[in-house]
Amino acid sequence: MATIPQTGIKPSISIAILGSGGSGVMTTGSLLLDVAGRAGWYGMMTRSAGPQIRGGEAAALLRLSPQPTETHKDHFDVLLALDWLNADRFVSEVDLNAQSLVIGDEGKVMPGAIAGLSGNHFELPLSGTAKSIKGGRINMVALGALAAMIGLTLEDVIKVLTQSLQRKGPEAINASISGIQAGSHIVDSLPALPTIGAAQATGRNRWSITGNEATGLGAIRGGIRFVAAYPITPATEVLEWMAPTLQKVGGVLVQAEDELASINHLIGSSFGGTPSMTATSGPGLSLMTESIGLAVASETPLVIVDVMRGGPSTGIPTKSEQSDLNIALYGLHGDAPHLVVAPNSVGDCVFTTQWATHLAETLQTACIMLSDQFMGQTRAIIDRPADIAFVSGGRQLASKPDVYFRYAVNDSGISPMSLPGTPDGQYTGDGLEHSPSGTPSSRADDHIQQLDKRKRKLDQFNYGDHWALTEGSGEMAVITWGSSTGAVQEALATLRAQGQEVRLVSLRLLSPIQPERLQRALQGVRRILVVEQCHGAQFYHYLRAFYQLPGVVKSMAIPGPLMIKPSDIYHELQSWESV
Amino acid sequence: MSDTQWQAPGINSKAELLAQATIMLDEMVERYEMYADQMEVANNPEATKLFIWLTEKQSQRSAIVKQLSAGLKLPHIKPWNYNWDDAVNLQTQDNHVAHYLMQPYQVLALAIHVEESAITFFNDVATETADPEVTRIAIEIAKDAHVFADVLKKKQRQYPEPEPGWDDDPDPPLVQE
Amino acid sequence: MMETATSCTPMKPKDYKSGVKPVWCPGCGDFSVLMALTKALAEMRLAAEQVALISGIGCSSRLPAYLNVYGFHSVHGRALPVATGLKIARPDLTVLAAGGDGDGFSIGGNHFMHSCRRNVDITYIVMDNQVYGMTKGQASPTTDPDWDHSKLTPGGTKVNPYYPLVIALASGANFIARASSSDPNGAAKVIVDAIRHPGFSFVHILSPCITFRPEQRDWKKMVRPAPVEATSNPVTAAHRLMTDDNFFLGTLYKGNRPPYQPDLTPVIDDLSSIEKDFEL
Ligand SMILES: Cc1ncc(C[n+]2csc(CCOP(=O)(O)OP(=O)(O)O)c2C)c(N)n1
Ligand code: SF4
Repeated sequence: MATIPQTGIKPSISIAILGSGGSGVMTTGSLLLDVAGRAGWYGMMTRSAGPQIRGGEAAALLRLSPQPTETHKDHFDVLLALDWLNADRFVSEVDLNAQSLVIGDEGKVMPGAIAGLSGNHFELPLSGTAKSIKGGRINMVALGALAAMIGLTLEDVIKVLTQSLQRKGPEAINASISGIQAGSHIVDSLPALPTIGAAQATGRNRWSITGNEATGLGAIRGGIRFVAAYPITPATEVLEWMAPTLQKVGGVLVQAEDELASINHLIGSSFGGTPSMTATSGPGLSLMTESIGLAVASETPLVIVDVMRGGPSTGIPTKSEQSDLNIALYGLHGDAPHLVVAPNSVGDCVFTTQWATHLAETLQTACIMLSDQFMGQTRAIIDRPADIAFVSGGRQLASKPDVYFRYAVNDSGISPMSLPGTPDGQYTGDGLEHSPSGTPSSRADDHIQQLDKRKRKLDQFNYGDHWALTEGSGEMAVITWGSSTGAVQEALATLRAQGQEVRLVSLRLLSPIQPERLQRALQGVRRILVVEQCHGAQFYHYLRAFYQLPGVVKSMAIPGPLMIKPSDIYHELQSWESV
Repeated sequence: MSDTQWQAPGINSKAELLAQATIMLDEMVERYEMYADQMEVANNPEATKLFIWLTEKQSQRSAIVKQLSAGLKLPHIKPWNYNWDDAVNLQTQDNHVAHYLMQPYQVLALAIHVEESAITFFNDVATETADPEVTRIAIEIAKDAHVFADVLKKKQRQYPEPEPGWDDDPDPPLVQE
Repeated sequence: MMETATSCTPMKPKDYKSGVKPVWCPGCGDFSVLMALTKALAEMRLAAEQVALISGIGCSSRLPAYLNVYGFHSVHGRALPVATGLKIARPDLTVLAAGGDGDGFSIGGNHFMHSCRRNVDITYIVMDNQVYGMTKGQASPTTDPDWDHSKLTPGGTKVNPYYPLVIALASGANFIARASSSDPNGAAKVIVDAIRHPGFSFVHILSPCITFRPEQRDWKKMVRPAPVEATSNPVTAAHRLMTDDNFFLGTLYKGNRPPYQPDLTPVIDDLSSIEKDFEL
């Protein structure tokens, strides 16, 4: 298989840790990521698991680098299996090349599907070593072994471990330390891993955070104080993080009976003046659409986070896909202009959720934010996301109205809102078409006025530079969005290192459309590749429908559950360039 | 039937009587107004006009009772403690009688019914009470109702009694929402 | 019987009307519910801006626009979740929800159950006319199985009706009462009691649809006050509600479960301690 050339791309080391239920694969992976972070590296970890609730085969997939990294590279440098049970189901996710080290437990038979991928097979006495220690566990031995292989100090490992196992007491900690120490001694016979340069970032304020946590934090920063939701994979962690956090800041999370309830809880709380949000995934978003339309029509601000998973229907709940774009853009009945935004990295989830809140509150409408399973559930080591303060905007409130018209028609399209409790500001919010006062109306002039107003407020707003992430120059461009951005950036970095200039445009604002801005960003471009993780090329069709794209445009639309690889994009662009 | 059972009105002070009368008259004003609105919305101008006329007349009569009450502190009576039978309480008797095609004759029948119930009510008060002042005022109010009932009856005679089938509507109700 | 107030009532029922003219059919029971509600609010002397009335969709759900309180006319079946969100976020307000039997028991049936269970301090008024008025007279969950006037269910629904009061009790409602639009004054009392009672209060109001169920005019003759006082014993209440013929009026059950209301007092005033958790 062709891989991306190493020149120029991010130096990094990728490790896959496999094992079945009870072996502690995820703990090993998380600890390793933390230790690497402490040591001054950046990195990321994703998880993959079988369908079993308990006991299933699982994989912790890590990439560590001296530079920020949020996408897996083509192949793993190391695959270490605590056991091989069902390990072959990960073959499609864990690419190996001829140099990859494949390490198993002594005396266990490697599945043929994996053995065929690389010739570098090794056995380590993992379970044997664990057994020789009182209370010893195989995953700790593996942690010690991996840490030693990539050059992390025992001291750092023990520090992180002691902290994270605090609750388990000294006995467990000591047993683990012994396991780690023993593990670090069993790797001497292995060949050296490629060098990736020294870790450097120790002095910087760096965070270990998942996209879902980052989404929660962005919401809290943006002022969200009311969340109602119904649990759904892969959005649940947003809620799990927010529930206790909201309590601290004087907010609340309500677990509703279903998504029909949760979205309407938000309408109530937001009508009452509290910035409100829910987090869900495709099936939940489908249930919510009627009331998102209600929020649009009644001009009630709210934020809906859709952590996308494979669809349609229940689909592939634990895997990522960018295939909810259509429902987010077009899922509401009637002409219902609303906001659709998408973060492009784990760290960007903080900013984009905060921005989504700001936009919803300022423009008094629904904002759907499309995150996805990959971004949401990836744990990454990143630089602390900057504090952002939006200087103007926020919810415009009616003060001391003489005669209050909730849906007054004005130039900005934004009519001041009167909160319950305000004397003389009483009105009835309505999803029926209404006159400026809010009284139901089926008159043509009222309908046109209100439609115009609801569109105008979105179209006229200045979204500034936040509308997209743009990088680079040249006659070739890649347009993408969401979590595909990471892979595109990596592919483009390689091309640039080879002297080929390429532009990146990753749209953060999907609705309302920004045709002039995109046109400017694409000035002089002659070839465009549109990259998305979606079988139906929804993003490509969206661009085709609403934007003038210069030159030749190609679509690269690949469905989940596998992530698009930087090398796929690289080769696509390279072959095109050489035509 | 109200959950407050009908009982002989045991009104024993002028203030109490005037409080009752004020509420009854005020409620009638409000209800005639409501009917007027209903008929206007239902595009029944004749009935609308009559209900507006009734609203005005009724307001004038409330004003008289209010004059009688000048300087008096009237007690507050909770709606569920109103001391009258639902015969007088138009909303219970006749709210469902309102019909979008109702004709002037029926509007006036409704109003006549109200006045006749009021006459019975205040005459009862007059006989039951121990306070001669209450008797005097109750009779006065009953008389006033009588006079007004006669006016209504006279007016009613100007209109034909609706024929059977007056409420036929060849069009079905409109579906909404 | 009579309360001697030190001053005249400062609020009149009329003060709670918005001036918007109802689109209901003249004679509709919902007019009386509107009246009862304004009387109840006046009696409680609630400032209009401190009250919010949330509804779904249906003839009865048009109610909020006719009142001078804060209102929200949401979508079909969702009055309760909107009201719940509002009350949790704004416990200072008096929050009411209202709608029809289709809105509350059919499309919104799940919310009804869970709102009873959650026991947020709101009062839910259902104007039951055993029909879908707004969409031209189809059967609702409370319609008798042999009512055959709808084209959608020739020969009747042949499905047993639903008993909302029993469901409310079983689901945990803290206050259960029935009123009739034929007695707005009695209904006003029930509404006042319901609002005053903490937790989720369910007020079932028999409110005839004179257009699609003209025979319901006779309800007036069938309703009567419940012969017993409200109980706080769910077992007694269950027995009563199971044997209830749908025409007993008054407060039937008053529970004493504490309402659900999360504390909204912040314990920190900047986010640094939260963000610290992410630091390596
Ligand atoms: C999602 C949805 N489905 C269907 C409708 C159509 N619809 C409007 S009101 C209604 C029934 C109303 O019945 P009910 O709640 O009993 O109120 P009533 O009109 O009798 O007062 C229906 C089915 C709708 N508006 N929305
Ligand atoms: S259709 Fe029935 S429920 Fe609707 S307004 Fe008319 S009478 Fe009332």
